[in-house]
Amino acid sequence: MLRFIVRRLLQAVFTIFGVMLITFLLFRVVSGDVSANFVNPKLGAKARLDWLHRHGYDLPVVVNLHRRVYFQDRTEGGQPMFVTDPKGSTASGRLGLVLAAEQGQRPAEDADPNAPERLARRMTGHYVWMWNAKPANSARALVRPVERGVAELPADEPAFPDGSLIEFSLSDGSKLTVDLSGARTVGELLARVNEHPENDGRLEAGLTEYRPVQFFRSQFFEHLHDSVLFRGRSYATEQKLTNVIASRAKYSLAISIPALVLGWVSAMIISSIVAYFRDTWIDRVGVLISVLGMCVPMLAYMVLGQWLMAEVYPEAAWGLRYKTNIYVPVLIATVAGLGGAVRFYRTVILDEVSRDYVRTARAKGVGLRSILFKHVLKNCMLPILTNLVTAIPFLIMGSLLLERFFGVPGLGAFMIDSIAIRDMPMITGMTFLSAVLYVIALLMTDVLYAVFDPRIRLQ
Amino acid sequence: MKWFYPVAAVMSAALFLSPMLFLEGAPADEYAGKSVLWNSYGSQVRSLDPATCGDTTSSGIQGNIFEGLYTYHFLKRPVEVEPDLADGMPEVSEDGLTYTIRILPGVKYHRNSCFGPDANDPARPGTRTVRAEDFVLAFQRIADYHMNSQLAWALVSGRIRGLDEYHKKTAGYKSGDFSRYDLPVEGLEAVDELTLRLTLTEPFPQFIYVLAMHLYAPIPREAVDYWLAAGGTGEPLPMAERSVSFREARQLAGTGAYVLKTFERKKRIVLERNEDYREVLYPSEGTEEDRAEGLLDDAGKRVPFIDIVHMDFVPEDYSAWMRFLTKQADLSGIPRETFEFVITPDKDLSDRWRQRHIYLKKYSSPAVFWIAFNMEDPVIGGSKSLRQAMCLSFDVENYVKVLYNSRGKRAVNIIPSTFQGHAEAGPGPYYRLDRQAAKAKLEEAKKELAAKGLLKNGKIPELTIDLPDTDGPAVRMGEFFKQQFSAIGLKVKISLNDWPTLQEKVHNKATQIYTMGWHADYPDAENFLQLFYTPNIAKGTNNTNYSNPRFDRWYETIRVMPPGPERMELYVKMIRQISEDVPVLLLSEPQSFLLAYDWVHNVKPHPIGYGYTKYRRIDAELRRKLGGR
Repeated sequence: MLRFIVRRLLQAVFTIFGVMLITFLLFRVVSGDVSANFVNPKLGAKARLDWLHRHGYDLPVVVNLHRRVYFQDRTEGGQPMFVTDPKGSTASGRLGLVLAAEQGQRPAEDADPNAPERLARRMTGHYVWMWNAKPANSARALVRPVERGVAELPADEPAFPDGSLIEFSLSDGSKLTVDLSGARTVGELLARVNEHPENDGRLEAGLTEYRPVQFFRSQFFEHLHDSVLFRGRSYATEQKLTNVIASRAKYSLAISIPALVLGWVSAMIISSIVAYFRDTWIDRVGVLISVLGMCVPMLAYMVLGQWLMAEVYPEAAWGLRYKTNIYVPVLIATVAGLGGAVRFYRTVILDEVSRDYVRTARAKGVGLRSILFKHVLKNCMLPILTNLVTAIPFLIMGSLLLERFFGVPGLGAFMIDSIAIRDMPMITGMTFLSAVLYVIALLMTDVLYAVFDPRIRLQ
Repeated sequence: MKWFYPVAAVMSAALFLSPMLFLEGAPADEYAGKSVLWNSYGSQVRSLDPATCGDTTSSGIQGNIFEGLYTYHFLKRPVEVEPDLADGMPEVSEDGLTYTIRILPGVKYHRNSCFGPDANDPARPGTRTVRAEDFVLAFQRIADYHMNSQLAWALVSGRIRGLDEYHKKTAGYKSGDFSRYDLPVEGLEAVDELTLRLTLTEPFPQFIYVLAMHLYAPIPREAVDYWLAAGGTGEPLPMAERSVSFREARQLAGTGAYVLKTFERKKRIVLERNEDYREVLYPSEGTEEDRAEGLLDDAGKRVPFIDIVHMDFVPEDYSAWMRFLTKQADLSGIPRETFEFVITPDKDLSDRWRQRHIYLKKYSSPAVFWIAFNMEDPVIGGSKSLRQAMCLSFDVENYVKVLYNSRGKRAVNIIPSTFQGHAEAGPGPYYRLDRQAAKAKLEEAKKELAAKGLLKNGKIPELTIDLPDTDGPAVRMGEFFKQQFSAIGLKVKISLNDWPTLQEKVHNKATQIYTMGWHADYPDAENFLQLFYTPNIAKGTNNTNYSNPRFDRWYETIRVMPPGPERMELYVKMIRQISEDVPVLLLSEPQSFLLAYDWVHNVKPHPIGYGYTKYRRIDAELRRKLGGR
């Protein structure tokens, strides 16, 4: 048994890895540029690139085999370093220059030990494929843009059009203006800066060294890392994922657990009665109502329920002003799910009841009650329990429609809102959570089967 | 397994009742004896920090907590700027570059722990008066690279001397290092405790409107040091854990009539009366209509009247509407589905509803929606007659009626009808329905395109319209567009996108035709005319890619001109130029409808300003009598 569990756990790890790979491909590659929702278009293109850098969208996608162009300030002043693009130049945007001292979470590579700790002394550019760093290669490698869909530069177009000036303001207050017009390769770019007549060693340009430990600093591995540690922070509100889940999960559970329990109990009772009176009018009517119940959409139950409550007791029609208001969505969820559950349980019970051992027991004279409680229900419990267990992962995610309609601040409503505004860290975090819960639930169903059914002792 | 059933029964009961343990309801006498306004909001409020705030819902709430130097008069129309925390209008230098503003003495912040305990009563948190340096800090935070400020930064970027350089310098500091707020900025000077001097890079006649936004409310340095650097305890937080903006209710210290008591995102927001609010009186001037409607009955009284503003987050229109109908909420908009039952074709409240003690307030927002043409597209941008033909063929009145319940009026030139210059410029010659003229223009368009070799089999090629949504209303909109243009023989394809994808396409100039609009930042035509200025293409605000050197020269002239007849002449020329070149097909100016119960007094929605909840009054007796809370 233990070996079985361990084997399944190992399989689970691979499953989860597969889930994360697929969600990564779907979310990052297919969803497009999400910055539009979080950066005001009135601020222009530079603000967008800054945002993309801040959230790691300019990292290499799969693995990091890249180097970056850097500009290191070798002066010893007290002021921060920055660049400007004089006269409408777009050079710093094309290079993707960003300062290496942001957020304090990811320290700059090769940080200069002489510089004061807080001020940035180095600016780095786009990631360049490692083996493209040789001078002979095309300008495209140098200015590989972050955004998709931008037309690639034709092979013979210079990376920097005429008038590409960059002005570096260094820490000692001095400035250096470099003309990059017509530069076509990495080597040329570095030479223009290092061999600038006014440079005098104030500014050093180079390519970062490739260190094997940076192999994993790519979008995919950051995605893995953030998911496993639940490290996401919302793009929209800067809340931590863990805080969100902690504060909202209890509301989702407050609806789903009672609904599950009430649904199960009432479905068992109703389906037992219906199965007992098999082939009589009770049975037929019961099945008819169940099927009707399954056909009515959830939305109809909710709107009807809310309208009814508004007529009868408006205070309970929305929100959690009184604790007991929670039972309104619970009731609606129960009623909505009753049809399908009754049909399913009835089938399972009838299946059992038609078995040979029941006929034998009846023939032997064993009482009906005894048969029902000692034999039949026990055997029915297995499929029913496994059905329940697979519903566990969805407990925590909650029913988003119910939560939205009744103003219950649960995770389901949060998930749908995050998807609508493309709040990526929250979406990936909760997808990961669902995947983990689901895998655990599946494992539990297998274990339950093995425990309850002696015939299935898996090797 | 005898125990199975009893155990199962007990466990089921326990699980069923478990929510009662960990959920909390509201206490029964929560707001006993206080005047309460119950309201709801439908879209998420991301942040109430003035530096990050940008959307309408957040601004509406924030305007009651924070006050800026200036504000708009509550009742006067057309809108007028008046001093709020400033002592009188600003003193502007001859060259229009220096604004010297005196600040009202004795304005206190909300009581907040960041000021330490109160000198007289150590049990309560203290406060202090507003100083000029607090305004300097406000501007610095907005210019802070790490703040990622949206609208607030867009409006002052490039306008105040030294601020852009400051923005770049702050990028070199770690986000948790607030010593960057000690760096001086040339254009922001606190001359003395109550005098602020702002120096601009070039004359900006609309600057007074920018100062009338509460986004530039003063921020006390103590709040930054106590809450952001130290997390509310004495101990400084490690750099990596420090937040740049204020996130919790207890961290905000404004000067407004209301204090933010509870801020649970996506649950509820509660505002409580500011006990120490300075003396502000209800206005005694307004329009004739205001007098007739009783909006001047409270003139001269001290505000605020309402003690508590309780706003629940209700994302579903239907639920919000139900709450309003069952008198759980005092104000509401009107959902699409019920619109025609509530509002008559004359856009008034139907009598049945009037009898339910509800009244209607209509207001137009200073915004215009349009269909934008990409002027760099060879077909659309290459043929002026084609664009003019499309404008003449589009039935805008029908569009507004069918798709928006008539909640709007047709826009006839690029600026909203409430702005100065709209009437002077007059309606554009092509912004009307005339299918005959459209067909004639289409013939001309064919000739123009033929000359450029752009016709396909002798016909105008199929055009693509990009829409910003993929849901039901967008599909309907697409169908409507198709129908309109096919009436004159134009073939049109609809492409549905979601908002980020459309933004990307527009950014990459990969669209031909798409729907857009603009909501005014301030009540001046320049805010709309700048959408057609060539350098703004690179900046991103000119997304039709319209480029006309004569228009640019005019723009550069009016940009620095003070209001007056010469400027109005140029405004008119520019508006007419746009009406002639039609880079956009104007659709509508939105009209909004607000319903309120009779017991809510002094409701007058303001098109641009925020923070007028302090003027509202609740008749609690009437509410109880009519079956409300």
